Amino acid sequence: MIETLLFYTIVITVGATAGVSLYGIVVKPHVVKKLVLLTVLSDAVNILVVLFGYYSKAVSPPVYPGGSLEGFVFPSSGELWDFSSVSVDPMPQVLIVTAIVIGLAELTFLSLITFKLGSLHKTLMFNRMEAEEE
Amino acid sequence: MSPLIILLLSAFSSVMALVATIKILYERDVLKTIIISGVESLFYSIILAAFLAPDLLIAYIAIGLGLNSAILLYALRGGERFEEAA
Repeated sequence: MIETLLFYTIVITVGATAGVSLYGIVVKPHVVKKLVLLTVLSDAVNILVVLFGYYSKAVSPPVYPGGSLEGFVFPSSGELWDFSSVSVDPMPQVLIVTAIVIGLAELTFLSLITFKLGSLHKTLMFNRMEAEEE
Repeated sequence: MSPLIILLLSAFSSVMALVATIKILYERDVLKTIIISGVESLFYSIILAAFLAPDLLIAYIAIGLGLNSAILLYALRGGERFEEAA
């Protein structure tokens, strides 16, 4: 009962973080603050996807224990079935590794554009840029 | 660790991350918001450790706390540091 309540607390607060950061991206005029909130938004969505792969009986990361490179014995299907009942789902984690790297590349590109914008307009506030153009 | 302790730790971390995001939203100094976003990323990596994703934990510590802050500081160098009300 209390575990379900705590899990819903986590999901609701992470979703609220995503909502607050989306509000900040739309409303705040400073470009670098928009970038910071964009990283927060992508973090929150990544955490939500990782939460989908967890279940309360899991005690192990999705890595098969034991076995060196030389003397590796392939486990039978029964052993693999037993292992999959105590480990978390690896599929969301694999997707999130890709998403983290893509987010880093996107942030690098956007910050380069921001730097050029700042040296062109001598400001990083959107409202001042609009006032300058008029 | 028992599942109850894991869930308690994760709930505390997610609430602290929400508090950090609201602090980012109302902070005037943009340099401080970059540092607070690093703290927020640290709380999310506690959640990743509790939910059994250690590979993502390593990537999050390096990227969220180190590389993102450095890249955003580079972007902030092109303009003013303090934000005014719209």
